[in-house]
Order: sequence, then structure tokens, then C-alpha cells
Amino acid sequence: MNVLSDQELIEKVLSGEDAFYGQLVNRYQRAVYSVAIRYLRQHEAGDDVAQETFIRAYFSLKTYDNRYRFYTWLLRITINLCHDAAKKQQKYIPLNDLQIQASDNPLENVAQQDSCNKIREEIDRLPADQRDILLLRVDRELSYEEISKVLNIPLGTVMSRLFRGRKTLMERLKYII
Amino acid sequence: MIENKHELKVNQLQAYVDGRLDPLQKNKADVHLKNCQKCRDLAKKLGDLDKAISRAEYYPAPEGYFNTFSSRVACSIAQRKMAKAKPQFWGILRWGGVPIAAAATLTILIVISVNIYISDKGSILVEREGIKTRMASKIETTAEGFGSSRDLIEPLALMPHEINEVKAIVIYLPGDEGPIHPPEIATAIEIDIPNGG
Repeated sequence: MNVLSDQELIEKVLSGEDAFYGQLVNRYQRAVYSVAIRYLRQHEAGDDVAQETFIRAYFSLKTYDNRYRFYTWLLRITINLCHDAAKKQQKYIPLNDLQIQASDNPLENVAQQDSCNKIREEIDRLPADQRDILLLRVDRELSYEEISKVLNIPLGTVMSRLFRGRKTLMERLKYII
Repeated sequence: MIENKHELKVNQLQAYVDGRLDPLQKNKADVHLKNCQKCRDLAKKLGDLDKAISRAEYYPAPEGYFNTFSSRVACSIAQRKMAKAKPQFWGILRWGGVPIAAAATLTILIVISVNIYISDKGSILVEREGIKTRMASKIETTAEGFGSSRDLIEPLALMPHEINEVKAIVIYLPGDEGPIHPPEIATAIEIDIPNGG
């Protein structure tokens, strides 16, 4: 079956064939959800933001600029919604109850869980502008240019904030990593 | 050639670790890293940190979560569309409601406060074959004020039988001067009778 590009799907949706929007949702739902939950550290909040992202994108589809990747545009909506949601929930909630990839060794699991919690804790202690970039970089999906588009900041700022964040984490987590 | 000034090329080293250098720059970085232990260590630390962050920031969604995700989104979109359609109606009430209510109140006040009554020369408008005819007819009224509905309807019953359709009853109200004869007509209230009389 011929897989339609993002742009083709968008054009179909804009011409009134709403059913094609489902394909765009299916294509990016995991990526959007993973960014949202990483920001908010809570499934319910992440779910709300992920859904709201696609709803807002649907109603704003006419304003989408096809010079940029649709995914980048979606993430910009996601990040804005995450910031709003984070303000409401005051602080990022530690996700101690969230699963990590478990190994067969229980002791190793505990140690891994501890180190993961510590890493998240330190990420959350970073200034918000550095944290944003680090979390967007996790999947390695986005280029520096795309991160600068998502966050609406210059490319050089992306690189310098990213390095500052990494440097801070390397210092604070040197006994773990 | 990337120079051995470490503080100046952290961005390049970072881009190298992130795989964001073009082939030419990457070759130059490879050459530099071969000869620079400090940069090699830093590159390794950056790589290890990224792996650790990726591991810590991996959150699997609940089982089956994505099976219903797009249908939930579609449902929410449909609901929003319906909700967006409603305000057009409620919007009229919201913004139009105030003047409508004000006008209604004013009308009632005028009707109540002004000394209005149906002139004993009240008329009944009969429309027949598209021609409106005002027919003089005595309408019994209470002392002052509107006659009862009975007062309005009864004269109609006395009309000649060839009148088979009454489209409206028009009540002419006197002007400010009060009930003079003939009354100075200021206002006419037309009561439509949708299915004919």
C-alpha cells in the first residue's frame, strides 16, 4: 500500500477528508506522548497533553507551514502545552512509580531504578531552558535546527544550553555514570 | 583541522557525539580525537551521559494505550466541533439577549403604564384572497385595558359566513392624546393567526 507523506495527508485533511488525520495521529502518537510524559512525569498529565496536541494541531492545521517538518510543528504545540500543564501541577512530579527497562537481576533492578531516579532528579534541577533541550534530545530525532524551531530560540543558543546542561549533569552524576 | 583549543570546540565535540557533523568535519574531528586524550575522555563522558539519560527517560506507555489513542483524539475533535457550533446560538443569546430582554421589558412597561385600551372603535382586519380589509366591529372591552380574548374573538364569529379565513387581528392603539374619537393611531399591534380563523 502506498504510504502517504505527511504533506499529502495534511492536504487531504484540509480538503475535508478528516479520516486521514488518523494516519498522522498514528504516525506521531508515540513520539508526542514520550515527549509529554518526559516533561510532566505523570501518565495522566502526559496523556492529556498528547491528546490535546493532536486536537489543537487539527484545528490549526491551516496555519501549518510546510517548510518545516510536521513533527517539529507538533512538538512545538506539545512543549507549549507541557509548560502550561507544568505550571498547573507546580512542579515536575518524580516518576518513581514509572517503569524502567528491567533486567533479570533484582539487585541490578533496584540499583538501576535508583540511578534512574537520581538522573531524573538532577535533570529536573537544571534550569528549565537547559532541561527542555536535553529532554528533546533524548530520542535523537530532532536536529539542533529543529530544536531551535520547536523552542523558538537561535541555533547557537540551543548548542550552548545543551552543553551547559550536559556539563552540569556530568559533574553532578559523576559517581553514577 | 580542529585545533587543540578544547574550550573553543565543545560545540563541535558535542555535535560529533550527537552525530551532527558533516562528513568532512567528522573526519577532522576523528583525526583530532586520535591525538587528544582530553577530548576523547570528554566525548566518552558525553556519550555515556546520553545513554544514561535515554535509559532514565524511557517511560513505556500502559499496555494497549496506543490502540485507542487515535479514536479518543477523533472523539474529542468531534466534541469540540459540536461545542464550537453551539456558541453561535448561545452567542446570540449572550450578546443579543440583553437588548432583546431590554426591548421586551420596555414594551411591557409601555403597555402597562401608558393608559392604553382598545378603542370602542376597535377594528378587525380580515384578509380575503390577499386583500386586507379593516372591518369595523365593536369590541367590548373592560373599563380600561385590553379586552379579553373572548371580546376579540366573539365579533369574528358574527362575521358573514363568506369570510373563511382570518389572517390577523389588528388592534389600533390611541396616541398620547388619549382616547379621542376618532383615535389618533400611534401604534398597531397585529396578531397573526397562522392557520387562519
